[in-house]
Amino acid sequence: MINNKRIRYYAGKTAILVLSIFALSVMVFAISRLTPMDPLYSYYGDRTEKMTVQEKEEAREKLGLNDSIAVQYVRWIEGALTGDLGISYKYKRPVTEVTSGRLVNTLALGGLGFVLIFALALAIGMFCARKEGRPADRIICRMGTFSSCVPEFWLALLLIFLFSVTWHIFPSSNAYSAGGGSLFDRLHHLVLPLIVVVVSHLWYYAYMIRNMLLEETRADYVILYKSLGLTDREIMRRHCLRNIMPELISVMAISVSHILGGTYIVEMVFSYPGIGTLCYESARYSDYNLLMYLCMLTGGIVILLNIAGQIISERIDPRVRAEEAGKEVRP
Amino acid sequence: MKAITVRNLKVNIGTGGMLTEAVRGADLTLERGEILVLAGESGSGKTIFCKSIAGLLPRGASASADELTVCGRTAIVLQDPLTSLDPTLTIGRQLAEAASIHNPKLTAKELEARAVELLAAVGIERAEERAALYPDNFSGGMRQRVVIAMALAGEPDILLADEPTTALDVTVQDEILKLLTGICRSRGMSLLFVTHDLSVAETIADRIAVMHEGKIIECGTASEVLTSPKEEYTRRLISATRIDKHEAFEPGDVILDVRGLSHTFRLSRRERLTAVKNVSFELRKGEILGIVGESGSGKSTLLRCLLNLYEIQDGSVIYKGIHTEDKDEHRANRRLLQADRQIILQDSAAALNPRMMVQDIITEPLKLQGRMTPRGSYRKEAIFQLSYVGMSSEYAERYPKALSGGQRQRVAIARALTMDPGLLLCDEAVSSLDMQVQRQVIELLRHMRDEHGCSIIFVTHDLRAARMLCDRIAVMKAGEIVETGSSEDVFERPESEYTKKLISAMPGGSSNDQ
Repeated sequence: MINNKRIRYYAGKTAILVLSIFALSVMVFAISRLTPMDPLYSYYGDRTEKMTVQEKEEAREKLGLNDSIAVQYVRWIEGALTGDLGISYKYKRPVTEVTSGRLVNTLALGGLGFVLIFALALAIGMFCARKEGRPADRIICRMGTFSSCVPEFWLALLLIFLFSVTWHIFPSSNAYSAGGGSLFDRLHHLVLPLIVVVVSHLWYYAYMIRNMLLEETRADYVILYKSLGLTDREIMRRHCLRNIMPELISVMAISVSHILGGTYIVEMVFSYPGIGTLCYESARYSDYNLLMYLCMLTGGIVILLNIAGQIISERIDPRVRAEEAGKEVRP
Repeated sequence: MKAITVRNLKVNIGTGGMLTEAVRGADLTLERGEILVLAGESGSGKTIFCKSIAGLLPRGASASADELTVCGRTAIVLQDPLTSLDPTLTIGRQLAEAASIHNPKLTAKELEARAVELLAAVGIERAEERAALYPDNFSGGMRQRVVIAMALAGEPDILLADEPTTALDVTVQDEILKLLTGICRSRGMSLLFVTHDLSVAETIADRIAVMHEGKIIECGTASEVLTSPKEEYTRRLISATRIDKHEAFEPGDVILDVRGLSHTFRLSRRERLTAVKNVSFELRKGEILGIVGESGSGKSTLLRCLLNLYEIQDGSVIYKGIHTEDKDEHRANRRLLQADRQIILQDSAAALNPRMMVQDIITEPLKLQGRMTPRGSYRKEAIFQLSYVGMSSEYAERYPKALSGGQRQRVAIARALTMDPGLLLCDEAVSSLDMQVQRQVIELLRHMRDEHGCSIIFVTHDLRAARMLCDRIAVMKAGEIVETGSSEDVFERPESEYTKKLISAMPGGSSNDQ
């Protein structure tokens, strides 16, 4: 059933989405123009240094760099909306083309990492909550604190040293072997980066889930259901887990940016051809069109997923839906 | 036929240095179809005793007994109706789930019907419609009814009720007590009713057992225990519920004049809630005014308006000649008003900073006002105030969590006293305390008034506490004052229907006055 209230709700969310992306684009554009680097570099690269003042002036005129920032911004947005985001000077190809293959790599690493992190975190969190204060819980808590203290780059180097250099089990870099690219080959390359991404985030979320569950088990209804004959496990699964879901989904939405950020560092260490390495390169070589596009892309993904998470966590609560359906709420 | 036999039950919680002996060898029998009230103050082990019978001891607790026989099924009703139900499932689904645990063979349809039947059995009207609602839509009293229905779903022989009415208003408490006794009598169920309030025992109990420091010290028929208690401790518990007459205090000049005060909350674009409607009263120096009413009657909103915590939207509040509703006048006299009007809140645990020592808590208002103390040092001031509220100097360096509820409330009073206030506002200040401690705090408040001559506004839903303390009573209903008068007039000769209803719902009725 669709009614006014629901339409207004989604309209509000869409407005927030559009506004956030607009704000992001303004910031990305403004910051790229604030850097000391001459924007001519984005188009001519090292050749800029050999150009005469006259040539530079002509180039500026041609590219519209003498117009006001606002005009340039509008031009950029116009291009973006028609799919033209400029050319990467380093790769000499449109930026969308440069990133497409790498985007898949990053999404594979980040997405798989995200799924694994929360699947494991739920399992560990529930286990620890059930065993609160017992040795198993305490040992896992200690290990978790330790694991989340280990820096990602160090762990990555350690794994490369052990599994690639010493034992030759997993490759140390790249997303697939030269010439190859079968699914198995890709997964084989994913193992080490994935371990680092998962290990560095896992505990934080497992501990959060454990504590959310424990807080929920303090409610009196747990005792009441227990007195009626449900087991601890059933209460945990049927009631407590259900009730922490809205909160958990909000946390998951926020975690996207953390996990993505972690992925970038891991990509660097493993020379994994993803968005992260590309970001680093484009910043290093002042490839602004590419950098701006990447910022918009990752920022957009984070904003979109955050709003989606918000919507789900708000609407998963049956009470909200009941109220919207116009049921009598005051008996 | 015995429903429950307990001999020499011991329960320990924790291990090693953190070990607490919660129950230390308790004996009790509960006959079939009997209503037994287990009374005792908090910390006496009564809740743990009750939970160990139901097999619901918390993790880390270990129990041992010479005998613990429970004949039949048990079900439990807990104190807090707000968290006793799963907030995200409809009432109907929760009842159906409870019923399915007991009768796994029933179909979904039959379970649904059973849920409605259970709701009707606990006196919820239009049960079919309401089964589709969520706990949030129910008031505290109705939720407690649902919890009782959940307990009934298991068709128990023994009902264990752990302070099921403590968190409820008097009128609702009365209804729930009647419901519980009615259900137990008609179904031949035994009821073990745990409470700190002996006057509840008087209304419902066949027998009374008194628990003290983990032991059952006295057990007998209700009239035996109440009229000729054997133990000194029981006598003290009983006297805590009694209301003695006290001489009227000679009030002085008017210090607070409230005229036509109203406060409206904006709930949404269209909805408004007028929590306080056109309230007028006067308060004289040294007078104790009780504002009584059920929850939602606007008592707390009124109190917050009097303290300028909420904006005064309509009407005037004149305190010692200062028009506090006037923003400029209020700002000009801000420091004086802050110092001279002090508040004591219900939840003493939340009102004291857990990371500050008692002595720092007590003297903080002085430091905030930048005042020196006449007693030389802040520490001496703290010790002086502690001794005034009947606590020794050793408490000065403790933290709030090391104090009992009554002690924390005393610290809160001591903190208010350092400013030597002209007006003390108490928001349900004794409602979460045991009967005995309640009485002590009430006596302390009266003593303060007698010595310092400060006026007190005592907001409460507990009519008995109001009766014990107040010179004058104002009864509030739906934001309006429906009756005011001297404490004696209001309680002995109530005029409005609402007041009569409130008074008749008081546990123990008026028999305490004789």
